[in-house]
Amino acid sequence: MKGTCKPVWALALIVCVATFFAPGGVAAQSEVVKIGYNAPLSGPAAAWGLPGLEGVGIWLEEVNGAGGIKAGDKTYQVEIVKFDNEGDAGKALLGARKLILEDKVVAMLMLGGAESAVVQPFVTKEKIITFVLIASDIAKDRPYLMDVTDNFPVYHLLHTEYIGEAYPKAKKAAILSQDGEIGVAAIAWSEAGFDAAGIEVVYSKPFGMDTTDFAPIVTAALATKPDILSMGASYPEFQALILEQAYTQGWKGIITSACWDFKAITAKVPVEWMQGAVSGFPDFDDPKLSKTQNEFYAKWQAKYPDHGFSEIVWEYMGGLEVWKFGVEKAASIESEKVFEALKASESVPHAFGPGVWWGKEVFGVDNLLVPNWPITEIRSGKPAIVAQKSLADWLAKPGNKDILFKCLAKWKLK
Amino acid sequence: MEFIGQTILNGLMTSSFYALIAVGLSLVVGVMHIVNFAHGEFYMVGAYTVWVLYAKMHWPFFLAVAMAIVIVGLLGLVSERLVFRQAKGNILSGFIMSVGLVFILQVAVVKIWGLGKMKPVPAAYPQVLDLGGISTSWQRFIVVPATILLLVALWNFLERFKVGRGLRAAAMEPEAAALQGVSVKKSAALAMLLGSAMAGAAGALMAPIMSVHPYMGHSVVWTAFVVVIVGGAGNIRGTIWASLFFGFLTTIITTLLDSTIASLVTVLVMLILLAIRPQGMTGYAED
Repeated sequence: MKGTCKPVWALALIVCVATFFAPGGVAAQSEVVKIGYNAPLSGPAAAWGLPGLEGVGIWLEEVNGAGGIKAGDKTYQVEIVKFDNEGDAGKALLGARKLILEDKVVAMLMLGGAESAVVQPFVTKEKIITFVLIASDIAKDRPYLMDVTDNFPVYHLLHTEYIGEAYPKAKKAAILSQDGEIGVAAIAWSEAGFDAAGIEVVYSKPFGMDTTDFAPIVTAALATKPDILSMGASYPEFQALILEQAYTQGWKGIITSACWDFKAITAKVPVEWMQGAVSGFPDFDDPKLSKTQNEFYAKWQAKYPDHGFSEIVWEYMGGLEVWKFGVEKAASIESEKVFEALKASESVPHAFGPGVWWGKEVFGVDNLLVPNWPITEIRSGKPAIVAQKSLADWLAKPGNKDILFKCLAKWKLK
Repeated sequence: MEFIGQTILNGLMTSSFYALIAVGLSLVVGVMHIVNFAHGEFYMVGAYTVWVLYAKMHWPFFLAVAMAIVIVGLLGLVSERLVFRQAKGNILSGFIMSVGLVFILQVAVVKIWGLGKMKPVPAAYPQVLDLGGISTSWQRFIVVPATILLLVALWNFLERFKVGRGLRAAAMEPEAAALQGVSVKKSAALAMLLGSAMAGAAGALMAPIMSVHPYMGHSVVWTAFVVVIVGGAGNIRGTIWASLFFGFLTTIITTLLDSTIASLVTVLVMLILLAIRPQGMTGYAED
C-alpha cells in the first residue's frame, strides 16, 4: 500500500503547483474586495435597508459579470458582506467592528441616523469610507462619512419650495415625523422650507418611536386644520399607519414626504387619495430619467415582479457606483485614497445627474454630493417627475440661509 | 367639538383593544397564578394567523379571525399542559417558564416567516365610517362590537354554565372551590384555553390596524399587565373598567402630549393605585 500511495501524493502535488503557476490559474485570477452592508434588514426600519440588497445584487451581477472593478493594473471581484443591525445603534457598532476587523471590508454602506453617532468614532479611527443615506450625519469629526446618493433631509427645502409655488392656496402645514436623529432633522429642514415658502407650520411635535396607535396623534395634528401633511421622516411602516388615520379621519389635502413605501401605503388607503402627493423620488422607469436608470428598472422589475419600487432599491447601489468611480480614479481600493480621489473630483456622477460636493456651511465639511433634485407628484398611482430643483438656487434666495440656520438652531442641530 | 368627539372615539377603540387582550390575561393570572408573559406572543400568533390566512391565502377576514381564535386557544392549552402545569402554582417558576415560551414562540415565527419588513395586512373593511363629523375606518371600528360580543359570550359562559362558575370560583377562592369539587387542573386548562383564545382574537382583529412582526407582543403585554394589576387578577368586571380607564387615559395623553409620556403616566398611575388599593381597583382574587 505504501508503494502505491507515494506516486499519488506526488502527482497531486504536481497538479497543485502547476495550477498555481499556470496562466489563468489562481495567481492570475481577480482578487476579491469586500464592501460592508451594515443596515437594518429587520425591524421597523427594515424598509430602509432590505430593498437596497435588490439593487446591490443587480449591480454585483453586472460589475462582476463584466470582469470586476479595475484599480490600476489590478482587477477585483466585489463581494458584499451583510450585517443586519436592526436599526439599532449598538448592533450597528458591533456590525462595523465585525465587518472591518474580521471581514476586512474597505468601505461600508449604512443607513445612518442614530447609528452614525455610535459607529463613527471607530470607523474614523480605522479610516474606512462610509456611505450613508442621511446627509445630516455628516460632521467635521466624521471625515470619512459621506452621503453620495440620498440628500435627506436637505431636499425638504426643495419639496416645500415646489409646494409653495404649485399650490399657493396651501398656507398651513402639519409635520408628523418620528422622534430621534432622523425624524428631528426632517422636521427642522421641513420647517425651514415651509417658512421660506411662506407656509405656516401649525404642528411639528415628533412622535415617540414606541407609538403603535397613531389615531390620537393624527387627531391632534388634524385639529390644527392643515392644508399640507408632511411625513417628515417616519419609518415607512409608520407612514402607512399615519396616512391610514388621516384618510379615515376624513382629511384631504397635500401630502409630502422624504420618501414612500408606496405599496405599503396603498394597502391602507385608496391610490386616488394619494394623487398629487409630493416627494423627491421617481420610479426609475420615469421617461425623464436616463436610459441607464430605465434599464436598471427593467432588470429590477424582471427580477422582483411582485415588489414595490422605493428609492432604497437604488440608493445603496448608488453608493457602490460612486465608490467604483473613486476606485478607478484612485487606481486603488485603499479607503483613504478612494476618499481623496472622490473629494478631488469637481463633479461626481449621480443617478439624477452630475453632483457637486456641498455641506461645509451647515455640516462643517463638504461630504454631501448634491445634484439637481427631481420633484415628483403621484400621478395615476405612480410618482412622476414634475420639476427639478437646485439647492444652490434655494440657498441664493435672500433670507433663506437665515431661515435655515434659525430652524436648525431651534432644533439644536447647529 | 369634532376634536373631542374624535378623541372619545379613539379612546373607545383603544379601550376595546385593551379589554380584549387584558381580560384573557386576567383569567390566566387569576386562575393559574402564573405571570404569563407569553400572552403577548399569543396575541402575535393571532396576528400572524390572520396575515397568513387572510392576507396571503385570501381567506375571508372573519374566517381567518375565527381560525386565529381556535389556533391560539389550542396553543394556550398545549402550553398549559406541557409547560405551565409543571410550575404547580409557583409564581416564579411560572414566570420563568413564560419568558422561555416568549423566546420559543418568537424564534419559531422568525424561523418560519423570517424577520425582514413588517407583514402588511390590508384592511378588509377600509371604508370610512362617518359619525357626524367624526370618522374612522370600519376595520378599526369593528374591534368595538367584536370585543363586546366576545366579552358578553365570556360573561355568559362564566355566569350561566357550571364549569364557568367553577372557573370564577377557582379565581376568587381556589381552596374553597377545590373543596366544592372544582378541579384545579381542569380550571387551569380552561382558563388558559379561554385566555389565549382572547389574546388570539385581539391579535387577529388588530392585525390590519397595527404592524405585524415577531416582537409585536412585547409592548402589548406590558399594557395588559398594568390593566390586570389595577383591575384585579381574575376579576373580569374590574379588568373591563381598568381597560376603559387606561384606554382613555392613554388616548388623551397621547393626543395632548406624547405616546412616551402616556406610557410613563400609565405606569405611574398603576403604582399610585396599587399603593392605595393593593388588591386592585375593584378587585378580589389576588391579594
